[in-house]
Amino acid sequence: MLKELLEQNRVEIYDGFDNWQDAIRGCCHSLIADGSITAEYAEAIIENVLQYGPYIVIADDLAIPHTKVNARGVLSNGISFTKVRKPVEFEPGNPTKNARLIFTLAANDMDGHFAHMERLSELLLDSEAFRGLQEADDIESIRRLAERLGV
Amino acid sequence: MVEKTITVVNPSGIHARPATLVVDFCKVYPCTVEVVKGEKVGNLKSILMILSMGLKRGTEITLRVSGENEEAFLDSLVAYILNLED
Repeated sequence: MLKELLEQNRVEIYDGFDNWQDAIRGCCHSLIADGSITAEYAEAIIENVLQYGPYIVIADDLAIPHTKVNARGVLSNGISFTKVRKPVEFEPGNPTKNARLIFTLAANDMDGHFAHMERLSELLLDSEAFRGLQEADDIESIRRLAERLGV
Repeated sequence: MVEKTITVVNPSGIHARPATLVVDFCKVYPCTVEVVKGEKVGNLKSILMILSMGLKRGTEITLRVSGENEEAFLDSLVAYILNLED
């Protein structure tokens, strides 16, 4: 999955963002650039987090911004990876909701969404891959990680 | 150890938000809580594990609990999952 994301130019690295809303907008960048979503999708995700809380942080250091299938702004199924050097505080004051690894998911059908989730969670259950992404500081090191692990 | 087989009924299946709710529900229980789908067995206290199993609406799953008061907890877990809103 990582190799595929690299080939699709859907891997980006940022130093940090002023707040979690800007982080979500930034993490949508590569999917906007390739036409999978419009900027509206980032706003739909932000509204969802404001409504339901930071449930998109699903493990320590890991967030998966997304919202409903066929939300406004979704043009096709897509997934991107963003590494943020300075942890994004999805619930300021609660460090258990901080994340540097951010996979943004967009889906226009339920099967596509579940297929993404299954592949992504299998990748992240591999502790070597997870740790490697935490340590990676540039695109080249992510590329080497993907090749070394065959993921 | 006690177990019960149910079908996922909430419209969107057990995706990220419901998975978070199920994990929070199970975490307060001090013993082992697992979900079985076909040959896959996952820890119900791990969101990533739940998401890796693809628990869509209509999926048949077996819930497996072992520990103190396991029967009472299994009953409450079944009710909780069957009543997930979305």
